[in-house]
Amino acid sequence: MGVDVSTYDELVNNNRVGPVLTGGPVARAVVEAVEIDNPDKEILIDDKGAYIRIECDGEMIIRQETISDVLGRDFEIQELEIYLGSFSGRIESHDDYVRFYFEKNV
Amino acid sequence: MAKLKRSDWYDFTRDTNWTPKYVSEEELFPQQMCGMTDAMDDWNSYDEPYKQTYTDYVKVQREKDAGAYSVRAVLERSKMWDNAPAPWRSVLIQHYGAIPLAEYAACTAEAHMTRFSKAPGMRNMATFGCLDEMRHGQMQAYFGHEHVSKTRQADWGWKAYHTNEWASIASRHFFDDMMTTRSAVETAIGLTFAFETGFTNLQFLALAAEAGDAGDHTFASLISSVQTDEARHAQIGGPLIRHMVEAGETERAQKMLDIGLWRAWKLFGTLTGASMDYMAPVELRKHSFKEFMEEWIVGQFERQIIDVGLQKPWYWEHWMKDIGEWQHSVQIGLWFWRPTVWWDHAAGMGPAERDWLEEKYPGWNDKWGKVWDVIIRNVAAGEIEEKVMPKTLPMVCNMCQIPIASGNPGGEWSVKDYQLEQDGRLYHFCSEQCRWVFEQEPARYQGHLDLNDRFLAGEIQPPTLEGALQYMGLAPGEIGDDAERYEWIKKFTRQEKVA
Amino acid sequence: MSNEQTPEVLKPLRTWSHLAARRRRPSEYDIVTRGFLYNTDHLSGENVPFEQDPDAPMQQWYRKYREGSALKHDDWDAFTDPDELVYRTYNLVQDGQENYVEGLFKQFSDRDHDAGLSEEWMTRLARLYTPARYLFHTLQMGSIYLGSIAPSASVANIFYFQAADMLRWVSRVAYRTAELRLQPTSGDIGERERQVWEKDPMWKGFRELMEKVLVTYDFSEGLVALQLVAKPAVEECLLRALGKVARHNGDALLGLLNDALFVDSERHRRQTRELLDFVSQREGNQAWIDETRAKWLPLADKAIEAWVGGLYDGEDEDIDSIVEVVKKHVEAAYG
Repeated sequence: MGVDVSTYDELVNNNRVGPVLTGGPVARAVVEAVEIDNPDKEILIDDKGAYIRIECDGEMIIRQETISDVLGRDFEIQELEIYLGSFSGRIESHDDYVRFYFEKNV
Repeated sequence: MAKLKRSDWYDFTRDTNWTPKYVSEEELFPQQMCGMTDAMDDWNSYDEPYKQTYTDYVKVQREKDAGAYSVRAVLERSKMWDNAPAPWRSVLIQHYGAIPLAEYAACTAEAHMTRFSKAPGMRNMATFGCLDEMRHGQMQAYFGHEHVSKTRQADWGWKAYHTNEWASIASRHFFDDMMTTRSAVETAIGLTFAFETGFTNLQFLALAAEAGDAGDHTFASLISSVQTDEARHAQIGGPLIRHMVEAGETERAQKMLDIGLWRAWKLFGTLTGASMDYMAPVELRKHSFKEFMEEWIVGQFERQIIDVGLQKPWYWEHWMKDIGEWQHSVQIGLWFWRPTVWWDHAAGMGPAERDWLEEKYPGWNDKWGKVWDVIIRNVAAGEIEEKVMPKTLPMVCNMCQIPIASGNPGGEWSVKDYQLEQDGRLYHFCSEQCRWVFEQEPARYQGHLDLNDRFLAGEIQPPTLEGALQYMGLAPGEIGDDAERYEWIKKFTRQEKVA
Repeated sequence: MSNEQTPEVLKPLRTWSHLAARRRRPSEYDIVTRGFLYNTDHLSGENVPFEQDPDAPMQQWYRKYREGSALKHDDWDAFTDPDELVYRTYNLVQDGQENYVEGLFKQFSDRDHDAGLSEEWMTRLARLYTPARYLFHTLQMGSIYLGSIAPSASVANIFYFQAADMLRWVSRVAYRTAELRLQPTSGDIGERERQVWEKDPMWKGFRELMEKVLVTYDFSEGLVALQLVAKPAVEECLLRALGKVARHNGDALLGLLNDALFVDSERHRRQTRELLDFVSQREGNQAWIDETRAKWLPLADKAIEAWVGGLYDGEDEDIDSIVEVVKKHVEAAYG
């Protein structure tokens, strides 16, 4: 089982950012909201059942207002924590939105 | 007037540094406990990226707990236990023994960061972190406790950390090193960055995915809920690394990261790795441990390391090889020495299992498969006591305290022992990395006796496997056995008969 | 093992083995608290808390400040928080408390309460109240340290919860600071708190007291200094005496807020009183506590005198007799 380490370098060299959410109605709403809030990005969804990985390149914004609209109820951005198991990239939490990003582009 | 936005007042909660007058700065933040040097200053600018307020904390955490503790969830867990295949129950027993009390010990780590960090934002986030860890200890212990009337091994949900069982020693050695005995700076890197941003994702999300696939949804939602707290308080380390890089202390941060990652890998590659690749029902098992490592550690975490200004660990190449191998080597050790653990370890063998392993790890049959061929032959011949039962203790590593099992199985399994002589004592390590960790700070480790040392020092009496089991706190009723009581062998013998 | 008796095969139990012998059915608190701090077991050697070199620096820290601490007890795990708080119930309780405070803030903000505060009172708040976040934060640091050096989980947890409560107090001061700043009369509020905390003579006593408490790393002495002396002094001044003066100056909101935060203090005092009863079962402990408390009290007295003097600055009151009342409250905090 020869290991080609360069494969792993390729795996590391990505710029994908975004949340990993525990599955359920909020996760589905976030997927929809992400599409709306990040219109020029290709959104990648990896559904592992217990969690859903939502990613795009470089930067992703998730707005409280958009999730509220999709869910049809008031949603406070702090509620996202209940479902936010992890994330790729780095996080910035604001009053009414969350931003995932990288500082360096590889 | 409306309620203020968080950003209107949040900064006041972390503008709390002052210049001590009646005691010295060194008395207030002793170097041993704090670890912040003069080169690192302007701590008011430490900016925790994942912010939380007290009001939102108690609200959100209350909500998180509401589901997990509901009566319905309790009933579902109980039903799941009754219907679960034996190897999956062993995964639960192992998890509940290895995790809750370590989580509770992490309260001490977070408390040290709260008290001894010079960065006010870090002190506040670590205060929440301390409560989070109490949650993880208590919640997982509470659910582990639900199984005590089903098997005596479930008692290890409380008992494991109070014994000298080898996996308990290994866990304490790791967690004491990373969590409770380091300065606020080293804890923030070794624990919150290396371990929590990296490895806990495997134990709590990857394992949740596997649990979900295996039909254990309540365990899946329990452990993924744990990880939602980790995702927040794990962010304590990131901004600290920025301060260190700016102060020219990159090397110190890198070293702590390399130590933390390697030590976490050894313990979790052992416990989680073997569970994921061998103990979940094969027909429902979608991803291998290696694939989860690639997703979480390589694709996600290593990328974050680069972004904060650090590098891949120096042993990267070796490690990437290890993520496809270690769990298989240690699986053989875990199963062979099954009486020395508090759960019934599963062989995870059968034609379908072997096909799955070969598919996920091409070449598996030629390496580990050959060792299992011999085991299978002996089990099929009914020579379990004689040939596949340990008579002695495994040789463990002086750093990770885990049986030395890496090497190159196959025709000849050459297990390599990495040695070091220090002050007249000969130390044995499983790997160059474990030896390197030791060499970084020998005074931290050198007087510690591992299980073999204790055996040789006469602490374990009588000096037999029975004596050792007693020393480890394992009595009949707790001593590990094959999870399926060797029923799996029929999958092979049936196949032969058909053929 | 041929000539030995076959050992008994252990059967499943109804609870953890260490609780099984007790007659009472274990509560949720028992199940998730007792015996949770494994490093007091000293499994890898005599008087060695951690699984590493017996003389590594943190081993020495814990050996000195926890294992070697003055107050002794044979079974610290037997201590029971009278509230039997566990993480789950802590959040239930405090979410309720925070909802109450949020409600207060909303009502008063709807009625434009702050606009009605006099400019003179605003000036006093900048000196008396908004710098309190520094003081409360020292309580947060001190409380969490006691948790980290406590000899069992049941003792540690009351301090971990208390530390979080202190962050709550810091946060409420922070919120009010920002809210008061919206008023044109707010003056220095939000600008000079650190200078006031470091330089104003009225705060010096508390600063000296808390700096000295914070470097008291020994568990027993830290317990006495923080719980029996410093914290009650802070509470009697910053919550109760200030609340009273606030009400007198038309700031009903501060009075009500401080009453709400005092609910936390009452719990801390209940828990600490229980802990005192628990340790005083053992001979010698009570005398040591009394002696140590007497040693720390003068620093608290000095702090109270300076602070209460500042509190009534410019008011025609008999400050000496008010100070005596505050001191009496501090002494009576544990009944």
